Amino acid sequence: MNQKINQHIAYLMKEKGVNLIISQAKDSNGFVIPHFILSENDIISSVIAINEMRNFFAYLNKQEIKSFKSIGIVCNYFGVKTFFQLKFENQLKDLELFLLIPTDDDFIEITSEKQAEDYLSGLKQSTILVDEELENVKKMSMEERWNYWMKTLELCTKCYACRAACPMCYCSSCTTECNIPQWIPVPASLHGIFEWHVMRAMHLAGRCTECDECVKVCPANIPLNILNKGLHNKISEAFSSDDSSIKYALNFFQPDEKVDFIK
Amino acid sequence: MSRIGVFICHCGENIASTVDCESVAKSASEIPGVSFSIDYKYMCSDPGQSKIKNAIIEHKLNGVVVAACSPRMHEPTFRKACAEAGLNPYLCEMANIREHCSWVHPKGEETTFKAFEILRMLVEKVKRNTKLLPIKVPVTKTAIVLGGGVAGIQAALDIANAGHKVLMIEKDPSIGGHMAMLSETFPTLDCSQCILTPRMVEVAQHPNITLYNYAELESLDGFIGNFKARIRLKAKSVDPKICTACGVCWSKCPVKKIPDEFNTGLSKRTAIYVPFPQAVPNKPVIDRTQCTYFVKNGKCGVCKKLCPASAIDFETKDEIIEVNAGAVVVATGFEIKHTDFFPEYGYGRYKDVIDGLQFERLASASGPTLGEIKRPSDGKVPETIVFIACAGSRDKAKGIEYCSKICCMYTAKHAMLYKHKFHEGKAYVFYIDIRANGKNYDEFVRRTIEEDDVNYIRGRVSRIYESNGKLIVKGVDTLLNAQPVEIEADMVVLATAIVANADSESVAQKLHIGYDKHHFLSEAHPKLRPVETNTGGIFLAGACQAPKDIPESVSQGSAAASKVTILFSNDELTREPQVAFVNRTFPPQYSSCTGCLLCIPVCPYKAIEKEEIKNRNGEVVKTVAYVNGGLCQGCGTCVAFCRNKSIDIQGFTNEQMFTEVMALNF
Repeated sequence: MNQKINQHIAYLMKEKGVNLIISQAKDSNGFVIPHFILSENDIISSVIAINEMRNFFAYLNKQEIKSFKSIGIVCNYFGVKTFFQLKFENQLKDLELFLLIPTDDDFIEITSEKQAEDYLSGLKQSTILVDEELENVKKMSMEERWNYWMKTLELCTKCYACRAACPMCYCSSCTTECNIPQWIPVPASLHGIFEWHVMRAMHLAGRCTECDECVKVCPANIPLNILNKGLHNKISEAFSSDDSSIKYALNFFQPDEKVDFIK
Repeated sequence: MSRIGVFICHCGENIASTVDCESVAKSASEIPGVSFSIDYKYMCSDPGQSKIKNAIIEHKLNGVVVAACSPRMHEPTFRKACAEAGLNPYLCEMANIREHCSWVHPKGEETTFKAFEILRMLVEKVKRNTKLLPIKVPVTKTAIVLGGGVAGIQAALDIANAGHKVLMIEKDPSIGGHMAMLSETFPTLDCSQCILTPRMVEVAQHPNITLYNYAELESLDGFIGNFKARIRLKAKSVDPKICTACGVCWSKCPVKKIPDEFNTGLSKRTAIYVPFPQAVPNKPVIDRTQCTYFVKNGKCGVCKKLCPASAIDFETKDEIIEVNAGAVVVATGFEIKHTDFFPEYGYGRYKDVIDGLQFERLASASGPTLGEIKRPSDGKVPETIVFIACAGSRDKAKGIEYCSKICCMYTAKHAMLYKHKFHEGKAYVFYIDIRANGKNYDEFVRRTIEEDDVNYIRGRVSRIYESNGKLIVKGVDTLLNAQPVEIEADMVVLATAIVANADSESVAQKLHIGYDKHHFLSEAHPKLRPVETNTGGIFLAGACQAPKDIPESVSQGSAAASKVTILFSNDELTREPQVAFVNRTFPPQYSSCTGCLLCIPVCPYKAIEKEEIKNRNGEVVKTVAYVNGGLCQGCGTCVAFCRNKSIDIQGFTNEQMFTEVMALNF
């Protein structure tokens, strides 16, 4: 990371009692990987463009990482979004977090939800996400779309890397592991694969932070993110998500909603 | 080991005519886990029930499936029979082979097969049923009655006479509601106030009723039997305990030009006022939005200087009190559309185009004209009056498709009263059709037409305009080949539509009850549960639910009161245990719930809260969701919503539903 961040990391570890920093580095293939800093000796400088950076918040849901209590994490815009969403879902409890977002030759530090909210609203992102692959799929007829997914998903081996990398997949026991009843068939049959990915997309509806970790880790290069992006756009169109009071459209209950469905 | 008994009912010919019950019983006996299976003509009859009871004891059954009608019909019957034989009633299920099968299919093998399949689903479910115990919740035997109109008054008196405490909340300075404003009542023409005011006084004097007038409900939390309400007591500026209602204050108040709400703006009132002479309680309040003291920062104060009892205190503030109650009767009433709603009838510009309620005040002996029909513009007695029924009602273009129900009757009454008071006058009524379907109602309308010589014209009025001091009413007579009709009238009375209160939506949200698209409050079932709401312990009375006349409002008030007294007849409330629960597992997981708590806002009954799981040292080890069984209605929204299936409904678990579906032979 740049010099300013590294200096700050050293300061945090020395003065603030931070005992773990999840930074980022490149491996010999140029792939961005997590770099765990447990002492000042671990600090290295590395150059990673901000849009190349990954979202390692999935680590923060793990018990062994949580036990560090006071943690710094180097991230970009998507990390801040993840932080905000996880806070909203009452995760990250009892954790003291320092988000370090690199800028050109400086950095921004975020420690609270308020700061995260200000940072996110300052960026004014468009509510409709644009993705080349999503546009391609949207142009297809229903039958073509079905064939597209059948063909793409056939490659899935249900390794669950998407689940492991996703910062929003933090359930201690996933529905896939539930066998009474068996919601998702165990074998990697097309039927079960399809059920798994559709279910995951539904579980992420309105919660996905669009960090695309699922795509980055997928060994079969399945464009899973377009399911989430498509859903995001649908929600934005239906609920106009520039209304910041809607934090999660699926469980948002509008006061003027008609309640006939309760009958 | 499952030892399930299967009982197939013929329901006379209802099931047996299309389903071969005997063969279903035979096939059922071969399902693994079924140890007893018979068919019988009427399972719900005494001998039928005895067969179930005997089989439970004889064959040591640990599950019962009755294949018969809808569980809505007889589930309680069969569960009770099982309980009498010592089996937990929730180990008994019904397979609906009547409504879902025999009634909707012709006789045949396929129909019999479907009946068997439905039965098999339930057998598989019962295998996974667990013993459930009813939930007991204590009951606070105090009822809140929201609104002091005739429906609320009736409900309050009935509950109070049954020996329970009642808290009545009325937003206006006096109770009485719309009925206190009416002149005479159809179909008997007895004076509205004369029959209502004794009831109003009874409310005020009843030892079991506490009346909070000039008050509003702030919030309602809790659940059936255990509500917590916050009531805002609006600052009256007059201490009702000291005030003797001598009247000096309102006769000397210098602000005299406020349109009087009670007289529908046909007269003026002062800023310190009693809405009408028979008001209950008969103590004045200061309208702070109009009073000079409050509008102009402490100038005036005449009433305070003159009050012989020193009852006036400008410093009093709104007070919020918290009360506990076991039930709520919502009787918040209605509003009417005013003449400004109708561009074709002058948008409220013409002074002599008035609404029905204004006519009531004109015809009332206690009204601004002391009962003489005088038109508002110049005080002359109108020689021709046109009454227009269905003004706004049953008009899709106006957004009000429904019938306001009382207009046909009160329009007939208005025309009759006018003819009684001014024999030479001419009265015309424009109507779509006449809906007079109450006791003695049609006779009343016939009397208006036949004896009192009121001209009924079937047709609608397209336009009203003013010309030479007359109101020209242009309409059409559809019984005369749709011939145009033009009447020069001195006054026009619009029977304007009844609409829900402007704040009905926010009231419904405060109470967590439903409302329809017109903002009328929703009953739990239009036929079988007309006074209950979907929220347990909250009942409806009067026109807050739909347009209603006085007898209907009163009967619904009594009906709601009887529901409340049934609820209060026990110290503890027994609830069906089919409620949601959050699972628990062994440590270190404690529960598969991740504590995201997104289920809290999704619950329509506010039944979910946060729970901290503690270890033996009292340290919090996990925060999870918790479902309050007293509040939960078992709707299952949270179950569908929970991502990792940590919530289940007792008796309808995911596992049971899944097994039912998987049991089907496709």
